[in-house]
Amino acid sequence: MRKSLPIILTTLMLFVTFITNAQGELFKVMATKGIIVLKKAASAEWKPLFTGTRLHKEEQIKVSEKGYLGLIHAPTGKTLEVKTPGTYNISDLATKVTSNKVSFSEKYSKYVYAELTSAEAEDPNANHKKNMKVTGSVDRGLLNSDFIRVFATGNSDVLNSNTTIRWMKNAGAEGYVVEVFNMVDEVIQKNETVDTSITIDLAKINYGEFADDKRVIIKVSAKNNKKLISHSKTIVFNESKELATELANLEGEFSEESSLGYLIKASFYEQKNMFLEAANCYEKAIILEPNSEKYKSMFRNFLVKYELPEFYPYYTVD
Amino acid sequence: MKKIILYFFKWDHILCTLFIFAMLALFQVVEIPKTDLVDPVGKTFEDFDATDVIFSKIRKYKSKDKEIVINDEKSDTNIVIVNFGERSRGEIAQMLQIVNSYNPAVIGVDAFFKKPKFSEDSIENIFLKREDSLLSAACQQIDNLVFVSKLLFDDSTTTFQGIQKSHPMFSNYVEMGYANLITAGTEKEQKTCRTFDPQEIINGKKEVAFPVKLASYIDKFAANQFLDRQYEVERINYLGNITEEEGVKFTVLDHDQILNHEFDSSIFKNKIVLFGFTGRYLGEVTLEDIFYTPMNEKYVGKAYPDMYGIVIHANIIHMILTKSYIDVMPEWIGLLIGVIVCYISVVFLGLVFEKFPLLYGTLGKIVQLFITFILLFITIRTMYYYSYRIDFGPAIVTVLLAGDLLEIYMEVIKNGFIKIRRLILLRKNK
Repeated sequence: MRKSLPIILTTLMLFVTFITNAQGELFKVMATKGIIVLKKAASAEWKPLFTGTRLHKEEQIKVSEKGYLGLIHAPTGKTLEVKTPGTYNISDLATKVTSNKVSFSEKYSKYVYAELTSAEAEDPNANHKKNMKVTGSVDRGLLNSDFIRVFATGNSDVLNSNTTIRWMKNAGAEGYVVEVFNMVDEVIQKNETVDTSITIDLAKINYGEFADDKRVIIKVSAKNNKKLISHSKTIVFNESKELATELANLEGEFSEESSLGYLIKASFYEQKNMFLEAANCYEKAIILEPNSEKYKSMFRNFLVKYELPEFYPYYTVD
Repeated sequence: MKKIILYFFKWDHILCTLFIFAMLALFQVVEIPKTDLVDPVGKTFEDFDATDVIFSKIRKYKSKDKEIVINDEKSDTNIVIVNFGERSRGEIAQMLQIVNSYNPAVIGVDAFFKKPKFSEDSIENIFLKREDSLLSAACQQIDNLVFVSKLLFDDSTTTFQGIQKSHPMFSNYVEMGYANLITAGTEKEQKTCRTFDPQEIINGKKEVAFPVKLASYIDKFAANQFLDRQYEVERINYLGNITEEEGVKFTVLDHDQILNHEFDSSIFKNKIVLFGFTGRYLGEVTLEDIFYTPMNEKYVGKAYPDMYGIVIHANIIHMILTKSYIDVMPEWIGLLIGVIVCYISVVFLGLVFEKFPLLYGTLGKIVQLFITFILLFITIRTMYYYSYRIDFGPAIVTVLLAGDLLEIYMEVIKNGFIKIRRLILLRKNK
């Protein structure tokens, strides 16, 4: 008995430690956005919190402004989201989850007051093979000419309301129709042109119920063949005052128009995911310094990065 | 007791029930202009789908407690979604290598790389080829890598005639699963996805759907059990989304978090990792590869599409691994229940009509609403707890029609018949 006592005690201690830890682990992080930090029990230091981290009852988290934290409660599997900035004790969050019990009947009775939705009119399952033309996937690096290639990324923010949309001339097109859609696929503007560009004033568009999110979708099709159409390009009119202030500060550093100034602005726009604005600046830099191979190379690399290298011959002065 | 039985099986009740079904058949065949009779029940002629209510209302139910939001429905930690945004092929290759170093069960890539990148400029071409070779190398080095393919439908033969894959420099080294989803729209319109096709025979070979392929790496038995159901079309039992508005039901990471190693090292071990597009950055709503699903609270066209394609695949994988597939009641049983419920409604309404004729309008509606409420409750509860879809559509429609049609039967058809019979008897006596 005396010989086996240390073994028994050690096993017991390990078991207790395991149980304690298992009980202490309360959440696992499913998603994070913004600045979220964690303070462990034994430490006074705040450290960044990453997705997949396990949270224990003695710990604290801090959520920043515009931060988001999605957690899964380990014992029950319920999800918990923290969107309000502040400091939270993990043990308090766990208590709120375990004390939250909503029965099916309560959920159902709240539903009864809401309007019942009905399914779409036609049944795509009646001939399901015919309705399987869509995959849940994307194309990467597609290069062909059976559609109209627009000089824009799939999504681009712009600061200037007057935005010029350009596209590559297509041999099969006799004139072009440029349609501007809102986010529920309603046409809000339609223009025709024989050129390969058009300027749209995003400040004058009627966004209707989507006035808080000035986002439009552009599609360019051939006037003589509606099937010859571009991929959808989303343009977001960014009216952020902070962004405008940042840009104004940047422009204040250059007293007159210079190619270098445009390159720096191009870099600024690129950081902000503003492809069209960045492209405009590269072009202006090259126009001011047409003999600079370095500027042309930078523009080429920029186009390659956004998978539009074929536009290089169209928009530079060689 | 005998009286009750005799009253229950009265001829009027049987004939009225037959009359209601005859009118139903007529509504299906002939377009009736909207009247007070038809209009209040207009929606019930459309396909009433209780599963939509489960996804859009019950499962998304959230309790708010000042700063936090709690949702009862369990999340799935076996699936990790990685958003590759608009990263280049080389960067995607780098992300694949990073994730693979943490021993996931399988990595699924929801993207097509159909052609090698090419530029007329020889210098740029070197740069582009490097991107392709990085991705090709990743495909060769990573075991358990699955890419999407696409079944090609031939309109003239109405069958699938082939499979589209990524370029052989990638697809030769990976497994494939087709990513086709069943929608009412096409690639250029907004699409609703409620079902999918789990397997097909193409040129004599069995091909399985992308999510089925991935599920088999975690639980081959569950995947085979799912395929053994032999359903041509399976309904998707949606668990949830990965948005701030609706809540996060799967672990999700953005491309910069992967490239900057901003994640816990345990996150990928033995998991299914899905690489796909969910916006330029997590949380962005775009129109690329995004669908309407039953989890959307509004009709198609009246709100933003709610779920990216990769998240739909994640929901299907979850359904397969948890065996929470939706079973559907056979149509004939639904119709039989409709007949029985209609008959019971006619009996109750007939009683109200006889005993309280002046209050029939009000009391009748109360009886109808009560029966409808009970049927809806049973439908939704059965679907919620047992993933079994009861088709009470015919039953609900007949209950809602019974009130007015019983009145027509009693006052027009029955009285008319009695008058005609009297006339015939009078003529006979003359």
